[in-house]
Amino acid sequence: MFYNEKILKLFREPHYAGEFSANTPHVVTAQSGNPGQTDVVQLQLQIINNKIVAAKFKCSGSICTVASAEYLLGNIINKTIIEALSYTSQRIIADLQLPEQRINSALLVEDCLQKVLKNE
Amino acid sequence: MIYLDYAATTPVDPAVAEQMAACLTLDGTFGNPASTTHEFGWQAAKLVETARQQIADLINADPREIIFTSGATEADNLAIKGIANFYKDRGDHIITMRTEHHAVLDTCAFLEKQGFTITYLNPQPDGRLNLAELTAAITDKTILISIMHVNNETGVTQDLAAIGQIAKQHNVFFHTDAAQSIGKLVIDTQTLSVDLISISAHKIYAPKGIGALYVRRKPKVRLQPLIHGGGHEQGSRSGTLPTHQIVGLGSALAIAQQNLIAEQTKLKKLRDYLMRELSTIPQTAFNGNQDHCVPNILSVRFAGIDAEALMASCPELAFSAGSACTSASIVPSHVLQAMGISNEAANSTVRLSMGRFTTMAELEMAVKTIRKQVARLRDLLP
Repeated sequence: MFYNEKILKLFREPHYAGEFSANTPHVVTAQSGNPGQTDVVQLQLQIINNKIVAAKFKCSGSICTVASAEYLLGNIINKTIIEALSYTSQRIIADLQLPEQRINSALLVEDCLQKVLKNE
Repeated sequence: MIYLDYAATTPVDPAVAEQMAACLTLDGTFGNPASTTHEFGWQAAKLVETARQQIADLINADPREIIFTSGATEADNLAIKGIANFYKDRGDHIITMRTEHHAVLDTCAFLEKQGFTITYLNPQPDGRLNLAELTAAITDKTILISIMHVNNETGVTQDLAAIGQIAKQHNVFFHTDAAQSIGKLVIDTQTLSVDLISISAHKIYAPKGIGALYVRRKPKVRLQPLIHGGGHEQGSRSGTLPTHQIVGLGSALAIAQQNLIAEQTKLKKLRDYLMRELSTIPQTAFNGNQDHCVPNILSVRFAGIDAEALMASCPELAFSAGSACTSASIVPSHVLQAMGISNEAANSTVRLSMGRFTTMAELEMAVKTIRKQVARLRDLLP
């Protein structure tokens, strides 16, 4: 399948890939997806005073899920929880021009964001 | 960029391209081989017949047993529909395998809609056919067995000699799609009981758009043609013969025949290296029978890795995945599924295929890149 340069760049050079060390304070974590059946994504947000100050993700590596997670985190850093919630899957799909067959990646990442903010 | 997708297609050998170019322009052999009234046509016809002889030589056949087609897909169509329609009074049952190329599977599915009965045999987990199951599937209505020589995804070979014997004992025609084996493995029509062989050009350093079908003369195999209009190719396949394409196929197969052993020895060495190195990457497995396979194809899976993601992570390498994307979803390879490989494992499968121009230095670079990117992608896993 053909992927645009924006998606490929986010996939190949993710800045937010990884995990916070166990003792990092103010970190909330959530995971979405079913291992073996769908992609799985894990988001970790460090939230201080209602503001997202740092973020990390891990995911089973399909191109669009990595790109969606990377793109989302890049856009919600230094944002409040309310502002972060405005980054919906529709926005990710439109901004990255995700192929129709891959919109599940954005839905998965959005689902995970909702979960992690609910955990806060 | 390192090309490791020779099973998809090959570049035209420069020596082949040179001979093809000599058939195109006014100063070359551009004539219509069917023009029997002048020198231009005679020269073109002579080149076509030389190519026919070159193809026949490679498989130890009579040149009159070679029919030119647009490629292996058309050859498969002509063989299967041609037999089905000509011999439908004798029977309406065809046997094939679930691991066949879509050129065979879709043709059989089409015939199924026309009222034919198709038996799709599953392979064993290693991709090979169970010969006892083949024998058991034959009925008094069976007219054709169509089993490919080499699987395009896994490289697994089928035992043409044994299948041919079973077909002969039961008075059933035997067709094989040899797109991945022609010029790479020895095929001798004098010792094999195979009645029809589909030949592709573009997998063996000849151009796309040309192929051939071998049709046995003794005992005579008859086909109902697919294309009418001019009676070319003894009435089996009408249409002006593309001299340059045919010359390309003939000369490429002549080169392949000359270098068959040396080339296979080189490719085996490359494949052994690739297997040895890739198997040191944790949780790596190889699909298919590794003792019965062509030396240029390796189907390998890295647990937990999305094959498409691996390909996108290695933009300097060209290889293919074990799954195909359709409009609705990711569809795991029908070949790997038929072998009992899980969807998850199939989606982790990549095919690396090497060829005449692959070097050890390229493979060393490929292994290094794949090793690094598999580790990177695994680091991303939750």
